Amino acid sequence: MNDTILHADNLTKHFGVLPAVQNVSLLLKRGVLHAIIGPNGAGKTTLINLLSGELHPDQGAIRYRNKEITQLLPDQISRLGIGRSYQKINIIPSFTCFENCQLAAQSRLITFMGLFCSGKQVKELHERTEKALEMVHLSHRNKTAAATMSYGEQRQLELAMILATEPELLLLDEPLAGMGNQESNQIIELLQKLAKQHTLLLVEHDMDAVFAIAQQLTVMVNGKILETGTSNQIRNSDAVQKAYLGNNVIMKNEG
Amino acid sequence: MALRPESSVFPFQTDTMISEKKSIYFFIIFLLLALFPWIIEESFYLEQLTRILILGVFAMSLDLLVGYTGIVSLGHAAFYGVGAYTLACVFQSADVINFWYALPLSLAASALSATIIGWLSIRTSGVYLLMITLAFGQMCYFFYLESPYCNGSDGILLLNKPEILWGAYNLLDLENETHFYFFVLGWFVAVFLLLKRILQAPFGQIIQGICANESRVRGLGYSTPTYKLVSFVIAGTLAGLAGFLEAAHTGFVTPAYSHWHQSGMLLVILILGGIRTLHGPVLGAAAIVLLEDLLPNITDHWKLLMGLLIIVIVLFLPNGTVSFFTRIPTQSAIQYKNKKHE
Ligand SMILES: Nc1ncnc2c1ncn2[C@@H]1O[C@H](COP(=O)(O)OP(=O)(O)OP(=O)(O)O)[C@@H](O)[C@H]1O
Ligand SMILES: [Mg+2]
Repeated sequence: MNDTILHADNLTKHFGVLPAVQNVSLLLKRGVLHAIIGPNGAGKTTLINLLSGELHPDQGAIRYRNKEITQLLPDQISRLGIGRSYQKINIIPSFTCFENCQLAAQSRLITFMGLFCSGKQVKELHERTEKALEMVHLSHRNKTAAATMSYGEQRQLELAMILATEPELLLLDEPLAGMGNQESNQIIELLQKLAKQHTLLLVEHDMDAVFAIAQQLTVMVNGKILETGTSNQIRNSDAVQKAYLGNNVIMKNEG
Repeated sequence: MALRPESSVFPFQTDTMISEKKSIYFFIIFLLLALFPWIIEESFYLEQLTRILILGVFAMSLDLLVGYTGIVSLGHAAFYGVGAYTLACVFQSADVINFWYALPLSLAASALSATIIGWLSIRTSGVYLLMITLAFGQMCYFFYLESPYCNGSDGILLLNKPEILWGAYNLLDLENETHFYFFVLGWFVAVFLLLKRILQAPFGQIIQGICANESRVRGLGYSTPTYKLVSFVIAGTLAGLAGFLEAAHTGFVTPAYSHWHQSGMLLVILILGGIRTLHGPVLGAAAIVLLEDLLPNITDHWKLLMGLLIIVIVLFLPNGTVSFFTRIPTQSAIQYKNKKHE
C-alpha cells in the first residue's frame, strides 16, 4: 500500500523577485497523513496552490499517479481526484449550506452540462450531499445561508465540499484555523477517520494536532524544505529546533 | 459583480412551499394574459402588450447572462439583430415565409454568432468584457448598415408575415393581431418556463455559483469557461428569438435593432425591473414600454422625465421594481409576527 501517489519534483515559484517556493520536492505515499508546518510566509499555501493547479510552477514537475499534471488547470486536477481546501474561507455565501455542498457533489455527476438530470441522479446527489454534511456534523444547518453561519461552521462546510467531490488525495490548508476547541476536536477526529481511506496533505499551525496525527512531517522555512521525517525525527532535528520550533513547544508535545 | 445588490443574501428559492405559491401566481398571470384579448378589446393595448412580451423575452435572455451568470454584456442586441436580419434578408423577396424554415434559421444564426462572440468574450471580465461585447455589438450594427444585402439605414421591409402551415391548414393567421398576440404569448411562456427549468437544474446552480465565486466553482472540478459559453449561447439564441418576433411583428428591420442603445436600454430595463428574477425583467420591459407611451403626452421633454424616474427607482428600489412587490408582504408579515408576540 505504501506506493507514491503524488510526486512534486523540485518546484520553484517566484512572485516577482520573491521566491515563495524554492526547489521543493515532496513525496506523498498513498494512505499516509503528511503534514507541512512552517512559520507565516513560508510558502505552504503557495505550494498547495501549485499542487492544485491554481498556480503553475516556474520550474519543476508534479506527477500524480504517475501522470504529469504540472500544467493542468484546477478543474482538471480536481476531476483527477485531488480535492483542496482554502486557508481563507472560500464558499459561495449566497447559497445555503446544503446548496454549497450539493454544488460540489454535482461536479461528479455525469450529465449533459447539468441541463438534464434524471430522477435517479438527483436522488444520488442528495444522498451524497447529505453524507458529506453528516461527516462534518453540519446536517442540522442544511437550510442556513452559508454567509450567516459561524466561522467554524463555514470551515466545516469547506471540508464537506471537498468530501462531496470524493477525492483520493486531500490538500487541506489550515482546516483548524480559527476554530473553537470542541469544533477543532471534531475535525481532528474526522481527519483521523479520513486518513484511513485517503491520502492527506495537511498544512496546519496547531502543533499539538499535527504531532498527534501526522505520520510524516515536512518543515518549510522561507520557501525551502528544512527537514522531512516522522514526528520524532522532526522533534529531534537540530535544524528545525533552531529555525522554527521553540523549545517549549517540543516539551509540551513530549510531556 | 458591480450589479449585484448587497442586500440579497437569499436570492435562491429553496423553500418548496413558497415556490409552489409563486407558481400559482404565475399561472394566474399567464391566464390573465391569455384572456387579455377578451378582457380589453382595444387593439392598441393588444399591440402594446405584444411589444412588452417580445421585449420581455429579450430582457429575460439578458438576465440569464447578467443576473445569473455574471457576464455583463453591452452587446446583447447583436443577437437580436441577427435573429431579425436572418428573417429579413432570407425572405425579403419571398412570396411566402415558411415559419418552419424561418424560425430555425434565425435561431441557428443567432446561436452560431453567440458561440463565436461568446467564445471570444468570456475570457475577459469587468470593464474589458463590457468593451469587447460593446465592440462586437457595434460591429454587427455597422455590418447591417454597410452590407449590400441589408439595404443600409433604410432597413428591410417585410411584406408578409410568416405562415405557420400544418399540411394545408394554417395553424395561426399571423396577419391577424389577436393571433399574433397568442403566437408571441406562446413563445413568451415557453421561454419563461424554459429559463425557470434551466435555472432549477444543476446548470442553474453552477452558473449562479460562477457568478458568485468563479475560481471556487472551478476548483470543484467544473470547467467554468464552458458553462459560461453555454449560458452565453442560450441567452444569444433567445435574444435571436426576440429579434425574430419583433421583425415579424413590425415587418420592418433596421440596423437600430443592434445599436448599442438597444443593449444599453435592455440593461436599464433589467436594473429597473429587478435583476436575478425572471419576472423582474418583464416588469421592467412593461414599465419602459408604458412610460415611452405615456410620458410624451405630459411633456415634450419626456426623455428627461424618464431619466429622472429611472434614477429615483434605482435609488429607492435598489433591487428593482420587483422589490416593491416583495417588500410589502414581508413588512406586513413582520407586523403580523410582532402582533402575535404581544
Ligand atoms: N499572489 C501573490 N503575489 C505575491 N506574493 C505572494 C502571493 N501569494 C503569496 N505571496 C508571498 O509568498 C510568500 C509565501 O506565502 P504563502 O501564503 O505561501 O505562505 P504560508 O506559508 O501559507 O503562510 P501562512 O502561514 O501565513 O499562511 C509570502 O511572502 C507571501 O507574501
Ligand atoms: Mg498559508
